[in-house]
Amino acid sequence: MTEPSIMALLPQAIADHFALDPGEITADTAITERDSWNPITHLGLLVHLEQAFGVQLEEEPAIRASTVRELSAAIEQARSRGTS
Amino acid sequence: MSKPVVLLYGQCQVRALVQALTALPGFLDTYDLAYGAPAVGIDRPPTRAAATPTQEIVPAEDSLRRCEIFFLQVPLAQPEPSYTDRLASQGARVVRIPFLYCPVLWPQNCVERREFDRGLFPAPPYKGDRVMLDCMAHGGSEDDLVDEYLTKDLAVLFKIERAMTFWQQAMLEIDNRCDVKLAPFILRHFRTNRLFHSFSHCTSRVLRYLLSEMIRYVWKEGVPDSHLDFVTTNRLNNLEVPVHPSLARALGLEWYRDDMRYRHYENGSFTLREYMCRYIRYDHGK
Repeated sequence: MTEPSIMALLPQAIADHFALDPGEITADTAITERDSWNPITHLGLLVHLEQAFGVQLEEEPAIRASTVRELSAAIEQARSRGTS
Repeated sequence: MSKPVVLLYGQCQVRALVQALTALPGFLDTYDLAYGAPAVGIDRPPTRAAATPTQEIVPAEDSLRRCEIFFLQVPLAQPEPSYTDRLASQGARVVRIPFLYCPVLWPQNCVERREFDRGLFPAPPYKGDRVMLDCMAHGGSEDDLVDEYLTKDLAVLFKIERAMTFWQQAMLEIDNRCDVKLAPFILRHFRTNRLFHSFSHCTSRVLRYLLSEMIRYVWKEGVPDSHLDFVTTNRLNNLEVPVHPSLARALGLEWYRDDMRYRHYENGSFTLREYMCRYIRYDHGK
């Protein structure tokens, strides 16, 4: 089975974490602009995404990520490294 | 002749530093102090002004003009204040200090929208606890709910070891943007000393270290320990949020005791069980 596209799954994973409508979330969405974002929920989101995608994110880009596109890139990078 | 101004920018931690510098013997003989703050929490984006209705504090023009040293708390998501470049160009020394926070002791922290008496509290009287809120959703007596809460393993629930790694990295990222560094101190003492009262309020031990490092960085001199102790004690401890025992065990917190008491503003100090029962009732006192 091929791995599903990250962007096909990421909006739902983010929506689950922040209790949002996944339809509101696009690649350009700035997660740091969402009402429920703060440094705690950001770290929680990273842990949640690692579980959801079965990867181990590289910490530095994951911490810096502020948009969905940047999170997607961090997950893609982890997948290509094969870390899980 | 008017004195040069030391300006500090940030929120509660920086307000505590202003109070400490005000009390530092001799400091106000040499400098005037001024304070600036963003309109919303320094950890939150500007679009959230409505959710966190604090007032922006802009220093007076005279203070900006006389500013010689500008301690700027580096925010995570917000831009630096608009006057930063102006102060630098007029020759003020801009010293960036870290924003401090600790997510790993309270990973269950959440925004909560229960009603409260705004005459007593301008902001919610408790930090939201989503694990307890989940327990409360199915009902039960206060004692039963706390019993259930205590059986939860928050370290597993929130994958705390991994969260700890992310937090360490986040602190290093902030340190990299700062002149005064705190991450090594925090990481060295995190398990042996209580360093935080709540997610964004550090204990006097951290405040004392931060103040001494700021002074050493700018003035290249130390301050007597007794002075540092005097000016940093009891600054940010009006709310102490209980740490769940499962996290204390998982993180190996040597300072943690099961019978610790936690202060809730002027309402008193409570054991974890008492505190959580009050939280269930949302009891914020009169």
